[in-house]
Amino acid sequence: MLTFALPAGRMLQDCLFMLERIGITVQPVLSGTRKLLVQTEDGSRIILARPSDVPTYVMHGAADIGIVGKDVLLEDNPDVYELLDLGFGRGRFVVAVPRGGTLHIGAGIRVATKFPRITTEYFRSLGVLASVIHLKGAVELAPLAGLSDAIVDIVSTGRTLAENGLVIERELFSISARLISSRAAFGLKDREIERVLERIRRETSCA
Amino acid sequence: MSIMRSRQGRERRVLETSILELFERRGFTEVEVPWIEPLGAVDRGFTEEIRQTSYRILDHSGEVLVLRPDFTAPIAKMAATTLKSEPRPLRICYSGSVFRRGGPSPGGQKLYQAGVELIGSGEVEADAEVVTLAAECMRMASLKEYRIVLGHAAIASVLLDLAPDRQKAARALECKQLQTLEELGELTGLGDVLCTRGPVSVLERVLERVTNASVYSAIIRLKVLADALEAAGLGSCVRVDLGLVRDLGYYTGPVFEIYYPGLGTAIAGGGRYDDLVGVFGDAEPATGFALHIDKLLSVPVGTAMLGLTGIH
Repeated sequence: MLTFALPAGRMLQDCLFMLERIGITVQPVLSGTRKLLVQTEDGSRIILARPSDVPTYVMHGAADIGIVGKDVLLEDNPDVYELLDLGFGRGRFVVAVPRGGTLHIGAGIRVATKFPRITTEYFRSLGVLASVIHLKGAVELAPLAGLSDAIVDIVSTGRTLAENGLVIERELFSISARLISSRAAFGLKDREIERVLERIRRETSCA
Repeated sequence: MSIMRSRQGRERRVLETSILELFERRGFTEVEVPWIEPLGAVDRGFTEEIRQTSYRILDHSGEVLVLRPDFTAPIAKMAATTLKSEPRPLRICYSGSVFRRGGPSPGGQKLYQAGVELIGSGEVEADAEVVTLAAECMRMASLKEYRIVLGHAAIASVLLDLAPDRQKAARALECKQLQTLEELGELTGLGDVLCTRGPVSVLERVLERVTNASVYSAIIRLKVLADALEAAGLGSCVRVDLGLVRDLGYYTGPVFEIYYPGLGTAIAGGGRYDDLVGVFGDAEPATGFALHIDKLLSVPVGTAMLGLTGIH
């Protein structure tokens, strides 16, 4: 039987919906409980982890399969197989600046972000040594408070940016949810993982 | 030093000794590899990943030294130089720490490895010999539920040569992005080869569809290797994965990884690297593997047969 690590948070509903469609019913087991580890009727185990911890559970063999945003994979570069693009949990990585302002890309530019590695690498690719400020949340606040000149963040609708007086200056790339496994789980539980892959691809639009 | 640490130290010493004794019984001679040496002496033999994660130190004269990040390159250098006149095939074994940057602790990673290098034979028997020996190490440590996955480096290099975007293809292989690999298969005429995996019997089926000559002979070689492993009694734990890659650009022939339940990464791995010895002198075919002693010790049953349980 497989152990799944799922990201608690904005993507969880989509994950549960997808699992339901491939015959793994988690919703009723989860509802009304605050447990972070549950067993489903078909015997699968579900671990609910902080999104950025999902690859850690998988990488160390505590979970066989995980679902996590591409942002986490790009930022932390964990040693895992990134088997499928699941198509949901979409967003765009953008550079945003205060409305009416312009971005002067040059040495010393201050950029606030929850993704220091992605941000540093992006500005380095432009030949700029940016001063990257690592925040844990509410990045939109940084330019308003004078902490930074710009932010790098994920947007889906762009409403949060607008509400905080920010506009998209440029888009970097888009992201979505990925199905991951460890090299070892993929080798050891090949038949079970193969069955999950096949069912996901049959039941969902991810071709 | 805590009592816990010294217990682990003792377990490691006993395990390491048993493994080296096994290697010696199988005809391998232990060598001592310097744990610090001039970077220039071995740098040519390092993979890009090793180069980027190695620790370098300046000595008093300004010479750059490297803390041993790997055993294979310095042993390949020995084979091409000091051991040049020894009879072939050369059977070398080793054990000790390798030092790499990265990992969660600020001091980087100190990985404990034991392994063998079989230099001077390009035969499939040599490939089978090292895989069988790696499996013997598992059995010696009482690890039963292990699985060996075989791949072949030539398949990845054919794909990289044919792919429109080499970097993207390398990433797709390393991260096993199945959708991208399928697209690349279509695009390069390799079809579903990259996504072929499972019991050894899948090799025969995929051969009928292969048109690329290098890929064809790679699969034939894997088939011969798998048959040899079956004859050695390992049939039930061998799988193949034609999309398996280890260190792109380093291996040239069959590669393998050994997995164990509860560990997310390989407990042992290796393969054929026919281009490495030539970097230090005359070219010679070679194959080998390394066993991750720390990972082996983290498996509770790993030391059961060594009579170490209950020492607290």
